Amino acid sequence: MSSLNQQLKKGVLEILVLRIIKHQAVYGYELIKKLDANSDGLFKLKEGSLYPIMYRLEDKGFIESYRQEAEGKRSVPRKYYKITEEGLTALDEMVDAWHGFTKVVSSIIDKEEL
Amino acid sequence: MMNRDYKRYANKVVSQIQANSRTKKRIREDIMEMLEERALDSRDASPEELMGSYEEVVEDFKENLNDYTLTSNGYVSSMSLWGLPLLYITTSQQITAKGIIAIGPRAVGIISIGGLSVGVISFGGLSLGVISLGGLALGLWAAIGGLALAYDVAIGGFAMASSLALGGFAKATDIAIGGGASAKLMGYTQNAITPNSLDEGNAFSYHLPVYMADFKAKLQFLFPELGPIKTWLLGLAK
Repeated sequence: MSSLNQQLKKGVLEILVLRIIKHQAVYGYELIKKLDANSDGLFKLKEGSLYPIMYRLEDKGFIESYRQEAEGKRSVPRKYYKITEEGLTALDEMVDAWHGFTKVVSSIIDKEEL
Repeated sequence: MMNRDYKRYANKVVSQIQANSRTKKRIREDIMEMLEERALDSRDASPEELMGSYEEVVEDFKENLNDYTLTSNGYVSSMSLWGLPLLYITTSQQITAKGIIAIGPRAVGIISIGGLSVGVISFGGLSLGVISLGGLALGLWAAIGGLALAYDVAIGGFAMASSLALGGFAKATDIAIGGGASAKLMGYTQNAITPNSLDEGNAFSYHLPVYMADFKAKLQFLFPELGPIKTWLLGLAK
């Protein structure tokens, strides 16, 4: 069951990351905390899980990163991620696909007879 | 001091991850970024206290980066055997493909194909294997290539082996057939060179195809137990 959960989580993480970034640019640690808080702890990502997703999204052109000075003792400006126009379009498509997917799966699961 | 510890930690993680230089640079920067961020809440904590042991971080990246390298650098199969992916293909110059079947600019595997290739059966520009085929082929048992060097059988432009060499120029301890040949038993079309280790009386050369029958007779006499593979190869050479 835990292996199934892992696979399911991996499949939706790109959607969730884009969704969080959609309205506000975030930095890496902030993204991890937001995912954790908004999922009641179901998505407790570590760096090794988060950053490959960010690389994939960045290479696809769905997000872009930039540096900005931040408060606190940091040796370099903080790295933020924001969504791009392509990312917004991709997110809409992914959300549509997700709704369609869950609708069909749920209907099969809920059928009395198959 | 902290920054130096962070760099050391980040470098340690990156050194254990197989990825191209661009990805490694990103990982290094992001680990440093995360350590700085986490340190805002926990002053003076070590990198291990902030992010966990570097081994855990490495394993986490490795598990998730395979999905990433799938789209960016090639293909790694999820099925594996003896700890190796069944199939590993890469187009990256920085990554060595390692698998049961490995394909890439650099490839290591049971069956390997690449510019630089090492395997049990190896095909490559520079190829090293038990059976090796390539521009420069080095074979523990057999080699076929432009320059073919092997312990037992070599076939190529320049072929050198212990038992049997066939080629433009063929050199062997036992049998050599080629334009130029040097061995105990030589079949040549242009030159025969008696090996320094043998007296003239202990080396036998036959101009082919004129003296093919004599060559065959001497072959049967000197090497009656050649085995089916070498017999077949000699059949092809004739």
